[in-house]
Amino acid sequence: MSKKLLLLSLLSWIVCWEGFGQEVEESAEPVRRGLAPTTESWNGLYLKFRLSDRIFWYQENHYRRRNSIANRADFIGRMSQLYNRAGFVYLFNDQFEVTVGPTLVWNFTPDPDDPNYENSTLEPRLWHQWLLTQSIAGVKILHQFRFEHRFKRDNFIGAEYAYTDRYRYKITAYIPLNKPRMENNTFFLAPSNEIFFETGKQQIDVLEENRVYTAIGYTYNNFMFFGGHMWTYGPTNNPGIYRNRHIIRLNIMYTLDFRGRRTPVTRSLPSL
Amino acid sequence: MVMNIKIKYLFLGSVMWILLSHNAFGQYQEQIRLHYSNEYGLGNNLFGFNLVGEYFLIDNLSFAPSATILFPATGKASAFNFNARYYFTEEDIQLYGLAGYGIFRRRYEHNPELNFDNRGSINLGAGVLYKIYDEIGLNFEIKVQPQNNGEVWLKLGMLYYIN
Repeated sequence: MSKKLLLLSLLSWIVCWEGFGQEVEESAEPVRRGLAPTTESWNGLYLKFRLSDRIFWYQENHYRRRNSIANRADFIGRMSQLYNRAGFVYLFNDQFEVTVGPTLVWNFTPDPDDPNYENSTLEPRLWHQWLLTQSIAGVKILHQFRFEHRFKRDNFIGAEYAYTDRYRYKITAYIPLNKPRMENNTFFLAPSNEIFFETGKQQIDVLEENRVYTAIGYTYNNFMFFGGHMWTYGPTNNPGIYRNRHIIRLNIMYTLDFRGRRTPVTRSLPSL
Repeated sequence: MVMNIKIKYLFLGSVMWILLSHNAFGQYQEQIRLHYSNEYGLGNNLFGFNLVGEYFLIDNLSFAPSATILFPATGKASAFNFNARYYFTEEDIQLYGLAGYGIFRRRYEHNPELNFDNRGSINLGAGVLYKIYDEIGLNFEIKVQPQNNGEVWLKLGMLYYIN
């Protein structure tokens, strides 16, 4: 009897001890905390040139600024990024295309007055994108799966490059407002949501960011003008600390079909 | 005997001339091509993105200026090249030799004694274009820069035949 009591006491003590341990672990969980929102301004030029029936050249060039250190709400106080993305697009059919190419980003110093920072560092990437398009009652819906292989470093002098892989999915709806479908001279609304995941040796959190973007735009011949507000939310390098940004985006897209512009070249000397 | 050797050389020379002449009409004056490539320096172990514009001044002979942004572990590096290419063959596989001048620029990040280095060198090399479609091709190139520590550059990329 006394042996059983002893065993029960021992078991209860072990159970209590383990339970207590769990309680301690739970209390060590970081509390999620959000930083105050910051502001940015992204201005983009998008080019898409049709080189052949199946192949396009795609290019994006962005000029991005962010708020100054003293004022979180001024949108343009500091230089942020020069962002250049390009690639060859292969059109499998009207609903599916794949793009492959390089990206080159200039990341500017977070503090222009601090000599411990390089004014700008380069971030090269290789990227590929799988784009599915569908139309539902005149609304064009794009499913964009984008994968980026990044070589990125901090702006601290002497900082080392780290390699990461980024996985992005974006769903966008192009909703025509004054026409039954997207065509020339169409006012449109384009809400989208994009989620970013990132993996790498130094990544703390797999989730990188979520972006909610609502654009309004207008198509005019080869041009598309569009812009709007984007809100981003995601973790920082400090566990449990989340940031969010309000970004004004202004964009122009220009498309051109080179197929009709390829002029035959005549030989300037006769062939033997 | 001496006469026979001379005749042999003449014959070989004629054959070479005919072959080269026959194959040398694939690239025509005023043609333009745009290239995107990835470039790698074997000696300095630098990788970079490269853009080339190519314009044919006369048949077979083009001027091909290019710019490369390289990615060292720290600091920055870039290269600018001004090469002439002479094409030997036409059709789907186009072989060329190149000569020109290159500038290699390197900015060091934490080296107070040498912050910036700028070297010029002649370029010598060869390459090949392979036409995948009427408009799109692949390009492989190798070139040497004797005055830049004998640096050897390898380049692999795609090009668009504008006309």
